[in-house]
Amino acid sequence: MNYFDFLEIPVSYNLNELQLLRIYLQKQSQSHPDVGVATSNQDDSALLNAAYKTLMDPLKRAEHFLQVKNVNVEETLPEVMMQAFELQENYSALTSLEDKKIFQKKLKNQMEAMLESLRETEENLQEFCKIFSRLRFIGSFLEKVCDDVHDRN
Amino acid sequence: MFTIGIDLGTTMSLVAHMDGEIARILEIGGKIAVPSVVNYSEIKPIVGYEALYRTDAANTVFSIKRFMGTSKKFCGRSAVEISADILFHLKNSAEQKLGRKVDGAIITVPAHFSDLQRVATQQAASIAGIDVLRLINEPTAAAIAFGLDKKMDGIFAVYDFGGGTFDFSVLRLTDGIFQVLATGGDNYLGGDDVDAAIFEHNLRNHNLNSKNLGENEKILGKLAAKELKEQLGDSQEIRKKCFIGNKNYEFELSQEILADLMGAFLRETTEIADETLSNANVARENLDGVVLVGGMTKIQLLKEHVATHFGTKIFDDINPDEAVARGAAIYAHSVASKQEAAKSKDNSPAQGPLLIDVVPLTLGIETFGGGVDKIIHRNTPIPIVEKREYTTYQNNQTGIKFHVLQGERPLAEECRSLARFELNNIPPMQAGQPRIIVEFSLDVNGVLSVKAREENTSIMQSIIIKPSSGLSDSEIASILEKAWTYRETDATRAWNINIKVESERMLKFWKSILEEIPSDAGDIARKKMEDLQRALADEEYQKAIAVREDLENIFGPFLAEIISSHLAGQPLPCLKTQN
Repeated sequence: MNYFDFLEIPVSYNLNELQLLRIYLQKQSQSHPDVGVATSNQDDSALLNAAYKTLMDPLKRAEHFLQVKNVNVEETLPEVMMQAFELQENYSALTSLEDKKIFQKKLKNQMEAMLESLRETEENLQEFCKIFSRLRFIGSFLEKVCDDVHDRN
Repeated sequence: MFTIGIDLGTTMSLVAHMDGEIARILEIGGKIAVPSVVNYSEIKPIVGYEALYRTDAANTVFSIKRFMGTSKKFCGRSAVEISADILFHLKNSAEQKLGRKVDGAIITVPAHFSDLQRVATQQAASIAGIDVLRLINEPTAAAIAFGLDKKMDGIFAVYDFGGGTFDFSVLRLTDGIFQVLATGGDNYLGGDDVDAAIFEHNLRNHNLNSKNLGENEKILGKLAAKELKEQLGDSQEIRKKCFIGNKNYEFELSQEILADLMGAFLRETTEIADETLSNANVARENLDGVVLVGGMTKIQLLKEHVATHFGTKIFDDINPDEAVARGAAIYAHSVASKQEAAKSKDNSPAQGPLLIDVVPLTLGIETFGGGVDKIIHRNTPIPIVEKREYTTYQNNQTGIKFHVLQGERPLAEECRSLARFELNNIPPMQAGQPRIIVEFSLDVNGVLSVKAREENTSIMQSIIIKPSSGLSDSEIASILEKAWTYRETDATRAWNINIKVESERMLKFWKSILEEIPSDAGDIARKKMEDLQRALADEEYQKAIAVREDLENIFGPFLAEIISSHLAGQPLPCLKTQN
């Protein structure tokens, strides 16, 4: 399923989020089960929600973009593995909640910066793919950090 | 198609319907809200003020909503059955009052209700004979009532602090489309908890311990506490007599004490709110306003706390008690007319709001080793379908067990278990060979169904998640059958019998309190009661309804006062005294 085609927007990582929102709402107002006969529209509406959710999220959008472009993301680049190891070690060395929160903030900023460079490398798929595979790791690691910080709060 | 909106609350329930373009609250028994209280001392369940008035704790069920989706029984009945009795009373009253059949309804649930609690609510409605168009979330319903009043676009939050639950939702409004961005809440945090705290505080002041009190006394004491809370308003301090044991005690409440008792609850609500805003990726300063809903938000202290916390415009000009039911009625009408237009292939553009809600809690599958594979993340817009591929761990493994979970925690044992099922008859293959696709499908009501299929052989298992502790379809059928024996199958006969039984019961009730209303009203009431008796004897049911409505309006304004005067000292018939 190509969500870009489904929403009738150009296949590009750099999309206008406001425009995406407008298209999504306009299509939902025709497909949502609440505007038509009960069951027939559920599938279309669900697909719209999946497409919107995927394309609105910068990481999921990158993954989908690569998938549409038929680029395989290698599971474990050695350099990513190394970085992962380092991050994990640095984090588990932290004891105070304050330090963990600072770490969380730094990681968030790092992710923002990488997302920015992702936007700039759309033309160079190989580079895009490299940044994405690092981002994917940091994204899931950040999620764990957020859960941990939340638990200790 | 005639539709209503039902706000099935923990402490109070309301019904609203569309009167032209306006959503109106239906007065039942002369009051806008019916206490969600059921008494089972007679063959037919007694619902509302009358049940409350009986102060018969042994046969009375309160706050049943807190137990939806559990297997607990009260007075020998499940939470689903008890909720069904409340729903039936609401629907039946609406039909009698409006003189027409209700074809469909929207019932509201707390945004944070789990899948099991939603299914339990649907089951209750089906036992009550209600065709549910949708379940919608309470804060979203309130936003609809509010947004249509204002016709404005922007990002708003709904802070919904009710009798039993707290919900916080962040919504974006664009041209009549209500898009929920994130929702959070606590199903076990409500005004009831504040009442209990006020009650305990006063007991401590009088050196009493709630452990030594009878159930009826606790009910009356908490009602007194609730009244103190509601009546405090701007005054510094208020007092109220409360009858405990065989003595009158003076209960009191001041602004300082209330602030002290509510502090922890309020902090909890704003913590939930902040987290929800962050999940929605919305900063406090980007909010265009916060809508206050639920009985608790009438408290001045709470309003100030919320206003300070968010530093944005507070919208408290819609009645916080009525907003949810009114929103449900508006949306029920809108869904019904759009569906009718679609069926009749009417090409005129459909009017009315559209609601795109989200799933409140993450849904997933238990993984090898007790972890959770999150399949549908919370705050995903619904409806939604998500798939995952799994495989076997051992050679020649012919079956796989699935454990469906709901919750945010990383470990399966910390999440709520929704269902377990097995996919069997997988042909013997090497470990890792079978391709098992699990599909989670969440409908617009937030109710989940799960399918598992082995790709190579197309062996399939599919289940709709039903509360494992709830009722099976056959159990529901047998309850329905039982219910019809007192609801009658023949519609007109049922209608008439209902009016007769209901009227006779109300007559009995009114007679018992006739002396307690002012004599001028009492004289009119006495005459009207004779009229009602005559109408019933002559089988003039339309007339009976009209007279009964007059009587409801006569007694309605005095009911609260009468009940509280009973609280203030006159021992009630079945009040246990202890010493």
